[in-house]
Amino acid sequence: MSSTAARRRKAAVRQSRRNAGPPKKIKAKGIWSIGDRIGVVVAWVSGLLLCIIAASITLFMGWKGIQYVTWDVVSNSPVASLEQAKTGGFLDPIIGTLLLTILGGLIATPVGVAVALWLTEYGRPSPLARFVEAGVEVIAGTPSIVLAIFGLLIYQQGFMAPFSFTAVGGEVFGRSFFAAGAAMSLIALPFVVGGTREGLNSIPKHIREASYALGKDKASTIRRVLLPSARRGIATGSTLGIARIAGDTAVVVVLLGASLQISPEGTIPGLDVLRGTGSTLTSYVFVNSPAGEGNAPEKAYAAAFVLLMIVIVLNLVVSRLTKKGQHVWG
Amino acid sequence: MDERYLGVFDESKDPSKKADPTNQRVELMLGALASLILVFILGMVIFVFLKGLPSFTGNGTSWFGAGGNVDEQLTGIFNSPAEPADYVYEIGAFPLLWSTFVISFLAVVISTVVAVFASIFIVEFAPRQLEKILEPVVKLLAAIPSVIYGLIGILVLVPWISNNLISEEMRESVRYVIQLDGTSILAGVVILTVMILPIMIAIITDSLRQVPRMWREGALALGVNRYRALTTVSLRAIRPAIVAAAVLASARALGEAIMLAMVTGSIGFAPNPFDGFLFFLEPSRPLGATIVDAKEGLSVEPFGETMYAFAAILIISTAFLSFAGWAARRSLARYSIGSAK
Amino acid sequence: MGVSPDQQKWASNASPPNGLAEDVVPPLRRIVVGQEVPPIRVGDGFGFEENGQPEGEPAWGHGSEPTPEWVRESMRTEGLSIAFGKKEAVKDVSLPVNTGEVLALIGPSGCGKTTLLRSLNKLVDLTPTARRSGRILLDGEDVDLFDDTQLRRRVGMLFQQPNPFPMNIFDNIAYGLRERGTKRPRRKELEPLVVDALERAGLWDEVSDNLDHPALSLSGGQQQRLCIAGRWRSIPRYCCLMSRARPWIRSPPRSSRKPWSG
Repeated sequence: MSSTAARRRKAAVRQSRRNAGPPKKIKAKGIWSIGDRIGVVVAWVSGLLLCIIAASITLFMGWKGIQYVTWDVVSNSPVASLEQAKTGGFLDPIIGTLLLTILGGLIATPVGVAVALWLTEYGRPSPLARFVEAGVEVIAGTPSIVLAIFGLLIYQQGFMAPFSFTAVGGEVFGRSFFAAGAAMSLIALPFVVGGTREGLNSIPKHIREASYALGKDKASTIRRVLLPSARRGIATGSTLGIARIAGDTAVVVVLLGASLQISPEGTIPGLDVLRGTGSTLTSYVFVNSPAGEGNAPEKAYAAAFVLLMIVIVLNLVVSRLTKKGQHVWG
Repeated sequence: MDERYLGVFDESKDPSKKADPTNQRVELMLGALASLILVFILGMVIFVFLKGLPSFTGNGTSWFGAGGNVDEQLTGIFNSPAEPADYVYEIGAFPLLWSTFVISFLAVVISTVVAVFASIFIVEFAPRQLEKILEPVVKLLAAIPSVIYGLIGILVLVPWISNNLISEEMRESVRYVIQLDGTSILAGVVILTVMILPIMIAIITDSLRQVPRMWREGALALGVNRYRALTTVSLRAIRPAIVAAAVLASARALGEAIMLAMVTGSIGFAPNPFDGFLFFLEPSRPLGATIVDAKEGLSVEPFGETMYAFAAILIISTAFLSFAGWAARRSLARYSIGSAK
Repeated sequence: MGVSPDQQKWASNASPPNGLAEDVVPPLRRIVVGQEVPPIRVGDGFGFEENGQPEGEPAWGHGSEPTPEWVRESMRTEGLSIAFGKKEAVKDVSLPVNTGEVLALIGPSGCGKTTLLRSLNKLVDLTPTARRSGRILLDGEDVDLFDDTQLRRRVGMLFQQPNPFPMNIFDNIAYGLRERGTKRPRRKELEPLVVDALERAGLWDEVSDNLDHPALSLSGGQQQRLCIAGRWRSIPRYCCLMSRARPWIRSPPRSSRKPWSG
């Protein structure tokens, strides 16, 4: 075929293509089996189900929150009353949540960082290290109700009396902010350990070697070089742990006593609050729902909304911490 | 000049290995603290068991049996006379165990299936915008406190079930045994599934994304369609992760106390699967919820010991799950991602 | 049976897919991409003769011989440009690809050879930031008219790094056959095909004792031959081989002679 004829033919084909409009896609046969098609449909359905669930929970809580959260309710203390309108707000529970999360975080963070440090930097003998890892996993997997009643077991022993109060009959009450805070720290511990380990493991070996080459010994390397670099991991772990503490109800219900308002115990200011009982947003929601004494669903929704906001903010902090991009190891 | 700056890095002069008192002290302190954790856990398990032992010994194997009404038995224990010798321990915990098992099992099974397909959707078929939104949303769902799920359950789902799924005839048919008010196994399973779903989705999507690109491209380059490539290569490769996710979810489901206490009812009743659909509408109360409901009575001796016995069961099952998950992961790792490295 | 009639035909000892007899060596067309490539010196150890031709391979064409009649055009790119975000990887390439011929793209690393090859079976489209413009034609038809999967069944690809699946040897080779049909063929039906493929890839002697071993436990060279066997059985009509700039080391023509003659 001569080249001119070939060119003319190509032009004709091009022309006919243009006239015919956009070319139709050739139907594919034998690529998707019935099973595949069903699978794809189920996948789409599951995905959309997920979206619907997420959207409805968000919208529902948002709506209830707008309906019921008022300045009054956030700034007043709860009052025991049979009348709905007079039950006050939930200021004390908010303070209780804050107190517990701070207390739990304060205990969990140093302990968690120490454990993580030992696991990554030392870890000898290695069977012990594996057991400790497994131990942290067991704590992470233990239901919080079990941790709570175990805490009760300990704090009701005589020697723990200073941490709560002793009733008239000599029986140690065993329920206080101290007790709850200690149990909460157990809940946060695995998160701190995990976050710190990640932070430490992401430090490249040459940083450590450089520090040793400069003559620093291991302890000061840890103190001066590794820990500051692992700050982000530690912060992430602590924040995740705190978020989990804020949302936990079982420990509060068992270990914080059942007083609506914060009831301090003893005479030392500050410590008396910690020795005393109180409530948190979680126990407030529980008590005010139909499952508790519950005839205040509006207050329950309002408190739930505030709790949700706190948890969302904490998680946003975590994602900003993890997203900020990797530290540049020059 | 200090010889540490010159020459080859001599192992024997490695400062980090120096038998320096400071180093040793630090290592010892940290090691002791870490071992403390171990001691603590062992102590916890042993203590809980010891405290719950009288309940087991006082009943023998009938502890697991189904004789009698659990709530009546619990009241009887609570009211036992003050003399230790006269303590009443009688309990047949089967209804509680059955309830715990049914609710957790159903929730984990449903959640695993939905999580796998939802992950397939997120990783392969979702439009980019949707994928970007879904990631943080899933993480957020996982962080919602259980009491909020319980609140929505008891104020929205339970009345809906009561009004729409329970008919008068149903109520009549069980009138002398229990009351059908919407708190039910169905409510518990639905909300528990929603609770554990985000965790599983997060784990599975993470693992899917870590499957080496070359396997996926290899499958696609052979002319296998997207869905098949994903299921036969990627999903197969992350089987250990799916098992791990299911185990994690199971432990979470077993330990869930607060939400289930709000939503499944406060009656220690063992629903009968032969009741058909009614089975799902009957109230019951799993172990964790029982402990929560009983929180005030914990200082009454025999009652407290019974509760600790329940807690002991919970500890054993969650520990067993962890071990099973670990063993499963080890055996599956042979053909999966681990061996590629 | 789950194996299609076409597959059955090729399972027998009939001639290879595109009709070339086994001992015919296809001509080699070399295209140098990108900037000036320094000439290869004799004695580099890569087996070159004095005149720059590969050692011991006098049958490879070097451009001045007339094109044999069985060589005809099957794929073509027209003005193909591929960009990843802002970075242009391939710019305005019009390249005919012919059947019955081995086309070698030679060029410095990073000049877009891999991208060009990957665009031929639309693997490039998997990257979210990729943008492709220009046309690719397969047998005269625009490739965008095809379903991706359909295209990839006709244009196969072998990768630079051997990438066997994390399954056993048998499953690796049977994968293409199992997952492409709408019915899954049973193991008995697949066995002869798998054995045949392993023989052709020169791997049978080494793995015949246990086909259930994990494929990842083979050595690198064995893995690559395994991939070849897998592709062979899935019978694409055209095969893109991505290899480094020194193909003689990766897949020495001597041992893999048989597959290449297809």
